[in-house]
Amino acid sequence: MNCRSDFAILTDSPDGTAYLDSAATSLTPDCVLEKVNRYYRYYNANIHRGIHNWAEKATVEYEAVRPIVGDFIQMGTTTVKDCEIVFSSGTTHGINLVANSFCADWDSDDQVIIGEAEHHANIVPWQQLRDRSGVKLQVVFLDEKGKIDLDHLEDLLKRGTKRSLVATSILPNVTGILQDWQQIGQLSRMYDATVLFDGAQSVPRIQTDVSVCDFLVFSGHKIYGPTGVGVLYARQGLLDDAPPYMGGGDMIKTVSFAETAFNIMPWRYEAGTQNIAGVIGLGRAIQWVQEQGIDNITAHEAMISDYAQEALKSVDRVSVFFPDSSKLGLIVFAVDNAQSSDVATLLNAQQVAVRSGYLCAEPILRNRLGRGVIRASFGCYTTTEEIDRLITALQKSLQTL
Amino acid sequence: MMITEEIQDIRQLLEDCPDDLTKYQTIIEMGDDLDPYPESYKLDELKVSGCQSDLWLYAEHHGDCLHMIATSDAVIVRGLVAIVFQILNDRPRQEIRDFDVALLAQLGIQNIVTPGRQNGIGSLINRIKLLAS
Repeated sequence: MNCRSDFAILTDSPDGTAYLDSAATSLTPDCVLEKVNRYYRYYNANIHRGIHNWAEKATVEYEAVRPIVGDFIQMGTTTVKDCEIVFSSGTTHGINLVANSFCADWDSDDQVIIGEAEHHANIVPWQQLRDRSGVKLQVVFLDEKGKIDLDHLEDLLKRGTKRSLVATSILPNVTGILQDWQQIGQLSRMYDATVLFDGAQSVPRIQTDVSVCDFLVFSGHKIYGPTGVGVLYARQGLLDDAPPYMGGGDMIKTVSFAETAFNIMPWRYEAGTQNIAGVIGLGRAIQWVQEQGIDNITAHEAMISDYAQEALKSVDRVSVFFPDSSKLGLIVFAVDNAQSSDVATLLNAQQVAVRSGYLCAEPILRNRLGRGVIRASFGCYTTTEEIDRLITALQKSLQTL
Repeated sequence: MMITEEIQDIRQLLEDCPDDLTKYQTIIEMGDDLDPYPESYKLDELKVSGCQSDLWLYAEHHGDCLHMIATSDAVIVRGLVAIVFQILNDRPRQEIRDFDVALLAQLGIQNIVTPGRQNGIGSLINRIKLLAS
């Protein structure tokens, strides 16, 4: 994989940072920066409102991203329609949207099932729903390999609730273990449960297939795109009549002081002025990923993850989280007798950038480890040399800690 | 020693370090010299909010002065606390209340203490000033 030359941050006067925090946010290739820049430079207008040239161009560029996304997240004979792609501010927004709109009339006869390793974005909105409406919130545990225990999931699905929603991460940011997501989707469907997949870490790394789910959320800034933009895929029919999460301009058909008629999908859920430049940049980012080939990215990240896991396991005092499971895109570890922020600080002093702490996934880490961790995460630009630098810097740090 | 002299002493100590890693090592060693902190004092109300580490601070009035003990699960934080204590511990409470936080810039550690961590030190000083009032 040789895409580093597409990133000026890595090639033009690089400051020597070995950036190993792509799970937090990925770097952004120059072509995406250019695409965003061109919007502001040449046709900086609002969309869906004016009828002048710049407004028309902006609208066309923005709307063109829907089929780009749809094409990217489908496989085989599935076709994703434009009306099934809602632009959001990111994964967190998408999940909140589903919790507030799709589950608007849910109550204590209904349940939401999440996994043990979810990110706070896929925990808190459901807790808020539970506290607001009494909806039951169940947690499926991981097996010893770090995968969602399908037997436990089936037990929970069998529970005779009126409606069930299974909301879980395809590739959790706190384990790096790819879940058996197609099986999770199929099993949930057998029990008539609605399925929401958190694709924040998976969409940038493996081919997505929305035929097995009803909702999919992901963020632009993790797939080589700009920050502040994301996608909610919503299967046709599921959100069409639900009460919109946010009210305002553009999500309406007609407005009077007496009453307002809401717009149709997908604009029904795109209130206010969207992150126009962000969406346009996201479109270019997805095209860039397709130019690299998603399967090439998968292969590269799998290779780097294996390399990193082997190397980390050979460092004294390092414990890898779920050491016997293969990882994709990220590795989480802790160091005996060394606090995670101390390790990360000394790594930073050697220009190795990693994430430390609870990784926005406190429950699983507090329950299983009782302490913060360190995470090294990768993108298609990550090299084995950077992993070597991590190991060297780690060993040096452990002489002090 | 006056507060400004303490700050200069620490500044010199860190300036003599050939690189950032050695600076951190020195800071960590300063933390090793902190007085012991009893486990039983690790109470929620004694926690100072920090970003990725836990910090507990206990203070007593000894006559006019404020005497403090503290600890953290992170050794670099303990070192930074040791620096703050070298400057402020066992001083008259009025002096602590009058202490100008901006003087910390003279320590010359901005490049190795991130803005986030500097905010943490800021919170610590604010708590100390509160305890001194």
